[in-house]
Amino acid sequence: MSRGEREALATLYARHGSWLLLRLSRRCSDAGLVDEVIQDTFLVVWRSASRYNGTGEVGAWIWGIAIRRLIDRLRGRSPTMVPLSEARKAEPSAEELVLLGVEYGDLGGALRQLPPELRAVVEATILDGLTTREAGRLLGIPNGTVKTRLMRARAALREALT
Amino acid sequence: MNPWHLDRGLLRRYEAGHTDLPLAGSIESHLISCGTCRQLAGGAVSVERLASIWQSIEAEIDAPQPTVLQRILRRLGFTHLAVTLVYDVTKFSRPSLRVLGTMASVTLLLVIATWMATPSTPDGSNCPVWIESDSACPAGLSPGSGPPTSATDLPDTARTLVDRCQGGAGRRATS
Repeated sequence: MSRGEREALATLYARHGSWLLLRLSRRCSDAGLVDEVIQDTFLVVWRSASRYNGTGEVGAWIWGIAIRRLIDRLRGRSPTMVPLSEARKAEPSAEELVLLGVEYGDLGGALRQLPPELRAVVEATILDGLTTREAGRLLGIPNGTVKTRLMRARAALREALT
Repeated sequence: MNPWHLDRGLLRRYEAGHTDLPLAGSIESHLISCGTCRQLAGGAVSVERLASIWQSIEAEIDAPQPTVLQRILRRLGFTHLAVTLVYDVTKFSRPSLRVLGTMASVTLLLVIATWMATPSTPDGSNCPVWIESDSACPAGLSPGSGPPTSATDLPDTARTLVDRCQGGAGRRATS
């Protein structure tokens, strides 16, 4: 743990700490928890910096750590939504959803029209890059519900875009 | 390279949750790649809050780090005392002592695991014989209860364990 490494971490924190705080605050309203997640995240960065392969954006790597730390911290807390007894069906692919938008144009407009619960699922899986299981933990809903909502989102987008 | 940048108004709307999904998503992916806008975001966050988080990070870095083994043991429900003992005995400077220390801690953990799995009796008769002289035994070994044993007296306990490991079962203390 040389002085130089500590300074490098300080620089990384100065560059990425604030936007990370803003973005996490959009996912979790508990400020204390957000602070703990940021602390956890930079400790993981500190301990696993050698595992960063140097390709891609550092910010994306840090976000990947942060959102998973948030999910870990949220685990064990009571779910924020009551699980719905929806039928489990085939898992839709997130890439498929994105490609659908790219192919047909106004994805932004179509996303805006999605009901909030479907938007939350699209946000967690596509923008945050989570698996359906992780998205379920973040949103406090079962994995099967995430899959069903993703499928409904895909159907709604297809309808809006064609 | 980036034709589009954030401004303070947009950042405030994002912070307040007044940006819809496509816009919020665009802002978030832009912040990942744009240093200028990250600086702007820095101005939107309390300096004191960021400094306080940083202090916690530094304090945590300066604290002794639990090893992978210790983290696994904590997850499994072992107590602070047991986990700290493992830490101490595996940090001995001489390799031969480290090996002995590790053997001793594995034995210790097996005993603790057995002890934890055994239903306790009112007179504490299931308390492991090797630690009878330690009055903190029942409280210190119950998962999640009792104050953590102070770090300063742990190395001695650890060394005693190593001694016992070397001397065999015949040298166990009977109090």
